[in-house]
Amino acid sequence: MRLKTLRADQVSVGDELPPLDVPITPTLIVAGALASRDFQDVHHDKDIAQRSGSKDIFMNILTTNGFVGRDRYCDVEGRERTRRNCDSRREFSRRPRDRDHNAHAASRVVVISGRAAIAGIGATEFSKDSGRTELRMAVESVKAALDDAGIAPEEVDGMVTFTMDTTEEIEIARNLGMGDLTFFSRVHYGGGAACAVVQQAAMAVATGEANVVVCYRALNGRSWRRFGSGVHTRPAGPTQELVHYSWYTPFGLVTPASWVAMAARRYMHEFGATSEDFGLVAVADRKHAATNPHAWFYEQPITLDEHQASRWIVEPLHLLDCCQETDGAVAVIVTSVERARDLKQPPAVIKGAAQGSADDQEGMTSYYRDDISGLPEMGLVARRMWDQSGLGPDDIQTAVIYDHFTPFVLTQLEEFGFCGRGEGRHFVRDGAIEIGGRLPVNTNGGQLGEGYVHGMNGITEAVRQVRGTAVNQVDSVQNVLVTAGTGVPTSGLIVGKP
Amino acid sequence: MSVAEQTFIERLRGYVGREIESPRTAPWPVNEAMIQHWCDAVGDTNPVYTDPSFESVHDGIVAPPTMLQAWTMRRLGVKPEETGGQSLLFAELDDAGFTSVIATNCDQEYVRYLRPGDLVTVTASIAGVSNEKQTGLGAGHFVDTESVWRDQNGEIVGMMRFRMLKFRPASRAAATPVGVRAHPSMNDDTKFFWDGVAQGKLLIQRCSSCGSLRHPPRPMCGACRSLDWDTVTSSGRGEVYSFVVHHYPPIPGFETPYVVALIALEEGVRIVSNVIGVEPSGVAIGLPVQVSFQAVDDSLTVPLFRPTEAS
Repeated sequence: MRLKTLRADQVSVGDELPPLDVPITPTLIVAGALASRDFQDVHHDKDIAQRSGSKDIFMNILTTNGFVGRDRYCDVEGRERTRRNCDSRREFSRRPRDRDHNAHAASRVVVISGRAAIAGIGATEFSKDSGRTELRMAVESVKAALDDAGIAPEEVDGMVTFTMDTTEEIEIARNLGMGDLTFFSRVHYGGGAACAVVQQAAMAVATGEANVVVCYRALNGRSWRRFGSGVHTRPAGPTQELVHYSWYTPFGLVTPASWVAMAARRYMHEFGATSEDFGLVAVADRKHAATNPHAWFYEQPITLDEHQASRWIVEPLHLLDCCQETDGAVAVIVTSVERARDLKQPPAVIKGAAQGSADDQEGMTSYYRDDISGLPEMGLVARRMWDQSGLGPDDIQTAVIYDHFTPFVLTQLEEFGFCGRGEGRHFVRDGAIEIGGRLPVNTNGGQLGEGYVHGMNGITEAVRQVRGTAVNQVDSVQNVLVTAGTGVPTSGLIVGKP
Repeated sequence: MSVAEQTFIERLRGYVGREIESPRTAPWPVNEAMIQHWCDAVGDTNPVYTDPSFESVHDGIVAPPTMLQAWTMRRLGVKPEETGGQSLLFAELDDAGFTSVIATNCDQEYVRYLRPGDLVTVTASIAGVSNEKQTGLGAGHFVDTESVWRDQNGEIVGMMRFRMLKFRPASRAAATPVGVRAHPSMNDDTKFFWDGVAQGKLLIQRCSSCGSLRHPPRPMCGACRSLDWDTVTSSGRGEVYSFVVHHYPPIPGFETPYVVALIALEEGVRIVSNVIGVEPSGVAIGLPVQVSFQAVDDSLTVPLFRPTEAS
C-alpha cells in the first residue's frame, strides 16, 4: 500500500477527497472528548447515554470536526472498485395487447395534439415546514400562475387536481373570486395523475368545455404528515382499496419505497443493474438541484460514494435513492394555443398527453405479471404520445422523468425508447443524463433534489425549458418530455415550441 | 398547531438573540500539550501542528483550526450559567419533556491559524428555535447558536453556527417491535384465504370455468369472465422471485431489518410474504422456500415462508 499526501497545489475547490476510514471505538470517542475538553456525560458514560435515548456513547462533534480537518493520508491505489461483469441483455417481444392500443390510437390522435398550451406556471417555495395551510399555498400558487400568464381569475372556468389532493377546487375558486366553473375533474393513483391533470385540461379546452383550466397540487407532505410513512395505519374495512393493501400490510410491505424496491431487485437480477447505476440518477438530480435556488438541496450536490454510503431504507434502496417529503404547491394554466399566443408568456404547446394502465395493473404492486422488470403502463403512455405528436426519442432535447425512487428512472428511459430494455444502466453512464449530456434529465433537480410536489414541479420545469428560462437551460429546446408517477397507473406529457 | 403549542414555540423564540452565556475566555492560552493530545486522539500526523523543526509555511507550530471550540470548553465541574440564555431555554425544553440533547450540525469558519500563546474568548447567542420536529431520535426542537472567537487583541479568529436537537428520548423499548403486525382487511371476495390460513392451508383461488389460478383473490376470472370459483390447496413450496430488506421506518410488529419477498409458488401464482428463519443476507432470488403458519394473536394467523430444509 502506498500512501500519498495531496499538497495544496494538487487540489482545488470541488475536488472529492479520498474517503477517510476510521474505526469508531469507545477509546477513540473518549480520547476525542478528553482532547477537546468536552466532559458531557453522553460521550463517556454508556448508562447515561442510553437513558438519553442513544444506543451507546457517541462521538462529540468537536472530534468529528477534527477528523474533517485531519491530514488526508489516503490509499489512492487499489481503490478501483471491482464491478461485477454482467451483460445479461435480453430481447423482449412486445406485449400481446400492444397492437390493439395502437390501432385505437390512430383514430384519436389528432384531437389532443397542438390544441392547447400551458400559458402560465406558479409555485410556492419548497420546504419541510411551510408554516401555512395547504389551501393557502394552493391559492398562492394558482394566483402566481395566473399572474404569470396574464389571465384574470374571473376567466378561469375549469379546474383539475389529484384525487389525493385535500384542497377542494371550489374553495380555491372562492378564494380567488373565479365565479362560475363549467369543468372540474380529478385524477386518481397518486403521482400517476401529474401529467394527466394537464391531459384532462387539454381535452376540456379541445372540446370547448372550458377555456381556461387551472391544474394544481398543494401538499404539506412533510409538516402535516410524512408522505412516505406507509399504509399500515389505515383502518380495517371491506372496501376494495383496503382489501388490496391487505395482501401487503400484514407482511410489513407498507411504504412506497418498499413497493418500488421489490421491482427494483428483480430488475437488478434480470439485467445486472447495480445500486451504483441507480445512484447515477441521484447524482444527476442533486447536481442540477445544486444550481437551482428554488431547490431544497440548492448548493448541496452529492457524489456516488455518498449515495453508496447513505443508510438503507429498504434494500436495495439507499436513503439517497428516495425523493424528499416536501411542503409545496404548484399550479399551471392550460388554455387554447390561439389564446396562449396573445398572452404574456410564449406558449408551451401540448403536443402529447396520455394516460396508461396496463394489463394486470395494481397500484404500486403489479407483481403478478409474467415480467415485473418493466413499466408497461408507461410503455403504453409512450407509444400513445409518440403517436399523438408524431415525435420520437430523437426529437426530445430534455426530459423530466418521475423520480420518487431512482430505479424507475432507468425503466422509464427504456419504456420511452431512449435505450433498449435493460440498457438504462448503460444509458445513464458518463454524465449522459446531466446537463451537457445526451439527454439532460430533471434539470430542476427532480423530486430528489428540488422537491416532491407529486410530479407537478416537473411540469413547470418543462415549461421553463420550452420558454428558455430554466436555471439549467438546455440548448435549442424544441420538445420536452415529462412523466408522472411510476408503479401506479400513470400519465405523460410532451410540451414544446409551437 | 394548537394554541398551546403556538404559545410554547413563541416563548421559545423569545430567546432568539440572547447570549447563551457571558463571554468565556479560554482557561489556558493555546498550547502545545493540548494540540499534541488532540492530534493523538484523532490520529492527525501533520507535522505543522506538532513538530517545531518542521519547515512549514506557518513558520512555527500552529493549532489545528478544528480545535477552535476546544480552547473555550467549560472546565470539568463548572456548571453552565443558570441565568444564561441557553440554560433558561433548555430548562423550558426540559420541563416540556425534551430532556436529551445532541449536536446535529456544525459550520465553522476560520479567519486565521491560532498559535501557542494566543488567548481566545468566545461570545455566543441563540440564533433560532425550530417548531417541534419528528426525528429518528424522537420529537424535539432544533436550537441554533452562533459563536464568535476573538483573540487577545479583540480580533475575530473564527466563527461557528451550531445546531443542537433538544429531544424527548424515544422509549428504550422502541428497539424491539411494538404492537403487532397489521391485521388484514377482508371481505366476501377474500375471506376464504384467511380462513384457510387459520386452518393451516394455503388456498389458491381457481376459476371453475377455465381452471386458471389467481392470486390475490378477486370475484371474476380475467381470462373467461366467470364468477364461479373454487380453491386448490397449495403445496406451500416455492421460491423467492424477488425480495426487499426493510430497514426504515419502524413498522409495528416487525423487528428491523426484516425480509419481505415475492414468492413464486410451484402451482404458478405469486404471493407476498415474509421469509423467516434466515438472516437477510442469506436470502436470494431463487431461494427455495416452504410455507409455515404463524399465529399472531387469537384472531390472526399468517402464512410465512422459511428456506426449504435440504433433504
